[in-house]
Amino acid sequence: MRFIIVYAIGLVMLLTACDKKARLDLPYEGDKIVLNTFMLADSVAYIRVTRSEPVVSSNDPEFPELTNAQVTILENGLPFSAVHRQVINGRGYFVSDSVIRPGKIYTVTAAVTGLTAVTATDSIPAQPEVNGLFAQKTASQISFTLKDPGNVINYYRIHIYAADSTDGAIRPLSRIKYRLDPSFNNNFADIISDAYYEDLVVKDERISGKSIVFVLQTSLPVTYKYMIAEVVGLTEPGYRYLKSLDDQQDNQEEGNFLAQPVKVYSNVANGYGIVAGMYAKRITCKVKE
Amino acid sequence: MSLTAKLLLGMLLCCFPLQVLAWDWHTKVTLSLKDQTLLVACQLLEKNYGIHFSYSRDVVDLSHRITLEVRNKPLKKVLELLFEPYDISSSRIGNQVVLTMKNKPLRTISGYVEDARNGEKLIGATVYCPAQRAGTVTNQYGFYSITLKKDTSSLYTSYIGYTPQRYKLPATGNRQIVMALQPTNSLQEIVVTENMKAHLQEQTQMSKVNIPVTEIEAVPRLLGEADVMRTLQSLPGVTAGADGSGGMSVRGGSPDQNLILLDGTPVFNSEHVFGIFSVFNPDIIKNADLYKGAFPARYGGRLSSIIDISMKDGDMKNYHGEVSISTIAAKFMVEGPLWKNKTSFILSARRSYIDLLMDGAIKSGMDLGENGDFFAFFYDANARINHIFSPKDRLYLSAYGGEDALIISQDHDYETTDAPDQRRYQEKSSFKLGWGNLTGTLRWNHVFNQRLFSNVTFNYSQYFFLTHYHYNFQSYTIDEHSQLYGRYTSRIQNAVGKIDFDYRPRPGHAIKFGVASTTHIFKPGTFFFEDDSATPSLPDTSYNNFNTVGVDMVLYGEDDWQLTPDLHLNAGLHAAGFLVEKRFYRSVQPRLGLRYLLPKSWALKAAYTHMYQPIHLLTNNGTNLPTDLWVPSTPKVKPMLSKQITIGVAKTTEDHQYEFSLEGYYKTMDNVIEYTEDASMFNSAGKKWDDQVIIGKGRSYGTEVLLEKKQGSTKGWLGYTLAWSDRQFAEVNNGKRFPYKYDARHNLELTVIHQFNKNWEISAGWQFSTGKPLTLPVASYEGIQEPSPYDPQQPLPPRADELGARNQFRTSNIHRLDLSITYTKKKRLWTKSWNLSLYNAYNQQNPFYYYVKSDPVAKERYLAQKTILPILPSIAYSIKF
Repeated sequence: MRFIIVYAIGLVMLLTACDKKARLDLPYEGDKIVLNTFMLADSVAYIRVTRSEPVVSSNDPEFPELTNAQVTILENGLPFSAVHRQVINGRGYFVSDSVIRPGKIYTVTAAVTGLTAVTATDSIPAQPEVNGLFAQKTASQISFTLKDPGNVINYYRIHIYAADSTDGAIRPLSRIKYRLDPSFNNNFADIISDAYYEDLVVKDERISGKSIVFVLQTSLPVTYKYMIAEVVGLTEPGYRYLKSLDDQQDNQEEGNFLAQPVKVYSNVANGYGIVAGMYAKRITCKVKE
Repeated sequence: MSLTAKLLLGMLLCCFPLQVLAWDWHTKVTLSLKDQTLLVACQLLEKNYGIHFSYSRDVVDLSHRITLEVRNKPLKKVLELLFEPYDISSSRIGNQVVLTMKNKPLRTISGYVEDARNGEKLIGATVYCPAQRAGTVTNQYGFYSITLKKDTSSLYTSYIGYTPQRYKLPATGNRQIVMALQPTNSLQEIVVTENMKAHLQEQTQMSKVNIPVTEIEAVPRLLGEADVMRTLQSLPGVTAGADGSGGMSVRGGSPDQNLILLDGTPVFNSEHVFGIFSVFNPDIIKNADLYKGAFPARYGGRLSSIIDISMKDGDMKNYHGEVSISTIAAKFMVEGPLWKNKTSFILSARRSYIDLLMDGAIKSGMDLGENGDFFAFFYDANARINHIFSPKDRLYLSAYGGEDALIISQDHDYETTDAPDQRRYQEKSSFKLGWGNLTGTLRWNHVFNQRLFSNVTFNYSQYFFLTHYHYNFQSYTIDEHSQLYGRYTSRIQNAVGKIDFDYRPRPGHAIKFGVASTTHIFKPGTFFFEDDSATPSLPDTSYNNFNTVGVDMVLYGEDDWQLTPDLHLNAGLHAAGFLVEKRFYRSVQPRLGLRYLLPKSWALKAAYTHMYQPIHLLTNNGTNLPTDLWVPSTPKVKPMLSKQITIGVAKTTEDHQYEFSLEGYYKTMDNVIEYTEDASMFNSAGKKWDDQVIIGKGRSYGTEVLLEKKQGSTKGWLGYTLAWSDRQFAEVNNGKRFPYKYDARHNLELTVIHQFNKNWEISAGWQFSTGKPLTLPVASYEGIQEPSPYDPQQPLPPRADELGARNQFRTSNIHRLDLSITYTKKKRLWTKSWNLSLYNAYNQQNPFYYYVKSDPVAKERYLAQKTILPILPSIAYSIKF
């Protein structure tokens, strides 16, 4: 509902609002370790360890990496796997030698000389049950079925990819922007604001224990040969982190006049960041001509 | 007797004035007293003339102060001047004057005070008997009752903006008298020189401010609209929300702790356009009272303030009307008799019209399609009928309705075949967002006798928030269609039945008592969805579709009791019980006020009150919004309770030109709530809403000074507040106290209204406030979006900011100057008026909010400040007939 109000007040503000640099000093809380990893089941873990910076900065997207960090992973409280540092696409990661296993609990620790060591724990959620992806050429809707287990609270993240087939395997090409029926997430304003997203997270409060056909409306008609729907199961920390991060980004990028400061969720003790388990399920289809 | 003794006696007798030996009632006496007690007068007479007084201290009160100048007057006459006003009789027994109290029968004069032109009842008018130094003020229905001695010959009545009037009383007996006052020409306003108006030092009530409607209309306007709530925000102890927004805080309380009454009916949301305007059309307002503390026992249900707004009754004699247009809205008001001197009506309505003027530009700018539409407006309408059945019975029926609405409809036919669009479908949508209030009030005034007045009220109030959408999609190329409907509503409804009594049994007592019952119906957010698509997703369904009913019962009584001539006590008790979902919460709230008259006409006042609030408003930690939800107390979230102690001094100067008050207060609040930090995206309050809030305590204290100039061609006020307000939650800032979002250390308000002549009036208002608390980030760090660095279309890692402690920082200071000039020209049949206002005259860029802004061009991040109300000129034109 907040989006609607933002939209409405935005209209009012169009006439008069102006902004300028504020004459307030923002103190810096000091350097802390930032520990980030989404541990995906059946994959190795990619762990980023960086250092925090003052808020007012040069706007460089790259934060200083702590290349000499001591990173350890425990699985169900026991030593799990060694990690090695690897540079991928220009960024350094601490990569586990073993793959993350469903149903386990992982604790990740990072220590750097001169900074307080940090630690965080999360589990790996169940894999979502999805099937029946359907898309038709020139259509603006794609659909798939999700069966939600009813005994626990589940969180999902949805990506849709345009895809192609090479060597018999269907591989993603690019993400497709879409929007959900507001009955899933209450974003009534999406209907009128032409808002489409590459990435949405939803909680199962509306669909708990049901088998539901998700109908996603794409921003552009389907023109591809193949499509992939990726539904990622999230844990509660992962959901809270992604949701709060998204809310904070909204505030900063749009200059949200509701002035509600959003605290990004973190489960990292003595530092910042997130350690959260994920379990993805990808389904594919050939687009109907 | 020896010779020595005779000589000594002779010398002694020579030293004494001869009067010692012989005085009688004709003895010439000279006496000069200036604000001194009767006891001092007796001592002087004894010292200078040897007149001994005998009296019982328990019976005869000689503490009355008097100013008297007599020269060579007979003693009998002087004693009459001294003692008659206080019913003290004097008689000679031997060589002494014996003082006793007269035992005189009483009489009661009651009735209404009204405007002589139209019969409009005047609230708070003073009815005064100078000879007995006794007075009263009319209640909110214009009724008064005063009990006096039989030999009273006249009464005076006065009211600001009206010529004071003297009424001769018949020799004996109780009487019901309607006192009609003529409005003064404001240029020839009479300076009241007699004690014809109640001074501040003669009122036990403290922490109360009355705003005459003339002042509401005279102060500078925002976008041409006079506004009662904005005027209240320029008073000490009242803090407005961020620049231009609503959310009024009184003495450190939250906005939901203000009870706003329109003709006694609660109005849950008093704001149009997110607080820029209030919902009260000033054309129909007769009176507005703000209570910040020292709450009379008849009020309850909120912790921090009572704003009691009364509508006009409607002209009983002639038809009148007003049509006006301002920069943002147009409105009309019409009133008159339906049955002369028996039944009157008043009707008013206004609507903003910016959306109509900008229709074309908005449609093209928003790409709504050929048949698209856009409306963004507010409206409100008031109606009232007032009928006099008999001198003892009157009936009032009033209604209010208002709404803010945004309506957008789109209609697109896409026939694009070029890549990448290639859209070939029809898409239609409509969307509405609206919120508003509906109220209805029925009141019956009945005068049982000269001493007992009653009012029976039934009222209904509703606040609603509503949004819904329709969405239709139809492909031109394949069999694909969608038909969606969604609706979200939240609502609170109130139905009240109550009876209030006003009883004046004898001089020195003004008793009010009553009983009330309120039924609350809460519907805190219901969703409903329909899907009639080719491939439906969710079945038609609704969420949180339930009502919660709570019943509030109140019993109260209070007595304004004159303990001694200088000491008054207002003692009251407000007992309340709230029944919701088989739980019962009860509270007994003492309401005590004390006034003691100090020398030089200063009054020392003190008050101690408890207030209790069984309903809560779920709101985020930033701005109050129309989406905020009213919910009842639960086993976890108990009713809020406040305790406030206030002490101060007050004085009205003898010439009634100036009023001065200085008050200090200390207030505690229990069971205040806030959302948990990650519950800010709350959409509706389900059965377990209380899991998403934290419960804590609040505290506020401070000092307020108000100096008002009430009369003359230049009027205005200067207010200053020094205040602290904080909150404490176990879950926030490690359980330490933190400043409340409305905590501003210093507030200064200066308002001046000057009337040059009968045509021209100017006004200016300057406000200054030190910065308010805010929460800002204290570190920045890399975020994460994807689990694998190999995922396709890998975006740059997001940047996250870590928030510092709650409300650790302060905004910059806020100040602005508003100016206004009004030209009024009276024609034969009507009066026209132009008002030109300049809001924020020196274009001060006050902060509305702060955010961290990234500038990709300059490659920097910085803290940015958004201002929404820069210099805003406006014009309003009105015709009254």
